[in-house]
Amino acid sequence: MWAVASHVLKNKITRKKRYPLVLMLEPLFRCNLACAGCGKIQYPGHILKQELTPEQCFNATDECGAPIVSIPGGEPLMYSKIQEVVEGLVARKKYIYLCTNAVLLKEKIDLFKPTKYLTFSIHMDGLEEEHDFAVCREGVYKDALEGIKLALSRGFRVTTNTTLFEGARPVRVREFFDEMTALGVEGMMVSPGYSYSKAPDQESFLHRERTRGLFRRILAAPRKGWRFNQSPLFLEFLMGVEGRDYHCTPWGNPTYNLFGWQKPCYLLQEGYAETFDELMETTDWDQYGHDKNEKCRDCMVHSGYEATAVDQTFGSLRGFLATVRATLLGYRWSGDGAVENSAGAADRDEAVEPAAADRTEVVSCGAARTETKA
Amino acid sequence: MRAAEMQGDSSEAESIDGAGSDETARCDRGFSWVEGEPGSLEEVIEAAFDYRGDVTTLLRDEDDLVGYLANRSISQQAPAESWIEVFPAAGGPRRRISLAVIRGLILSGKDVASGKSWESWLKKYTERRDSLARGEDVENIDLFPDERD
Repeated sequence: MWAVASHVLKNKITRKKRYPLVLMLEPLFRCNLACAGCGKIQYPGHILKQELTPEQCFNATDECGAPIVSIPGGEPLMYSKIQEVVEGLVARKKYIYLCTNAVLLKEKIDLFKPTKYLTFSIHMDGLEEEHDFAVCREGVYKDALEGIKLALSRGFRVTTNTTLFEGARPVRVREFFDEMTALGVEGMMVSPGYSYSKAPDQESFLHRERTRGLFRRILAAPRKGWRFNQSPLFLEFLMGVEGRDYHCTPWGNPTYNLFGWQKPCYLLQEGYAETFDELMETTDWDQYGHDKNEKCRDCMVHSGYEATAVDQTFGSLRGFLATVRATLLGYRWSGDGAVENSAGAADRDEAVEPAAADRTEVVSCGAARTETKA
Repeated sequence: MRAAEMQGDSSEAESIDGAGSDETARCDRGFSWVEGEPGSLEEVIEAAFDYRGDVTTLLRDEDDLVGYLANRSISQQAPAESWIEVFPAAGGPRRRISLAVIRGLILSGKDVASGKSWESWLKKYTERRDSLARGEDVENIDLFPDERD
């Protein structure tokens, strides 16, 4: 928290308009799962075999300067240099979120040492039935659960990251949060999925209004003990709480991978820059945002909006007080019309029904190539 | 398939899992442009950038290059500065190639994004669940990454 706060304040003091918070470092596209909702593995074999060198990872980290480095992929535990890269980032005092499906965690855990700088962020899209369905393979939930228990027993920091799609059942998601809380994870991260052209799963992504409805039903009346490892203002944004109608901060989570610095964000793939400075200077940021760009219309993903929430926290006294209030007392889930009655609906087993007239259009060739669910 | 014929034609889309092609207008394997044909190099480059398979770049003074087109920069104001970046399938570092030395481009490799639809997975999953409910024997339908070349 302090690292983020000091980073934001430093940039505020120097009046820097755009600055990154989290580097999304993708050292490889290879994965050991083949989730129907993921486009990352959809490259020819010779691309999937390639990896960033540790030097490339460190140069990108130094160039970018973000205090947090998230390592997704692909599956980072399949990356041959993961130990060297993690050690190098720890030496740089970067807070690392190693985003893994945990299938290989038992085999690889001895590569790592517990430190406050390293967190295993375990991909969990729900309870066993929902998670195995989402990752298209039976048994993965059990593997992930074992991985979480093992990592916790070894003294590592462990969080979960969950992406919710069309058809998610609030009562089941709440049970899942209960289960993760009982396991003792440090925090949970949750985000709606994002529709993108090359993801095979076009029908199951959520749209803006339904996203708010789903999150109101899930997050209203939070159970004691739930801890989220994300800005409480972002959770309020997901629920559509008044005053939280944020705009995207696409430069907040810049992405570096085999192809370079991805333009403009973690989700859209419209080209690559050679350097971080080139990314920041040559991207026409004004083109992007849910009210400006068709591709961004339904996006409420944390990689775009959590940075906005953090910026609000440190951008005004009101934002700071709102965060302090939410941190001490919990996020706001009632008190305005937008969220009333949510508590009653939260424990009913209602899926968010797709609206037939509001499906994502599948974009044709020539449109932006876009990336995986966050 | 020529550049001018690309819109909405998915007849050549490959089905990796045998479940049929995605219901989308896409640029399929075989889509191409070569000097003297209708369409333009810029058009096929944009299609190639959106394509999840290798392409074959036809070069003026050297052998054709097969690889993944990962990036491009097309400048209408300064055409001489326009380029594509290709990761050669045969290995080696990425190559930045000026458009001035390209005489054609073909979407030649398998589109690894094609045919892997959510609908296909959902159909398999639902059928298996129904069969299980009827007490029938079922096959494993787990998905695994494609074997790499």
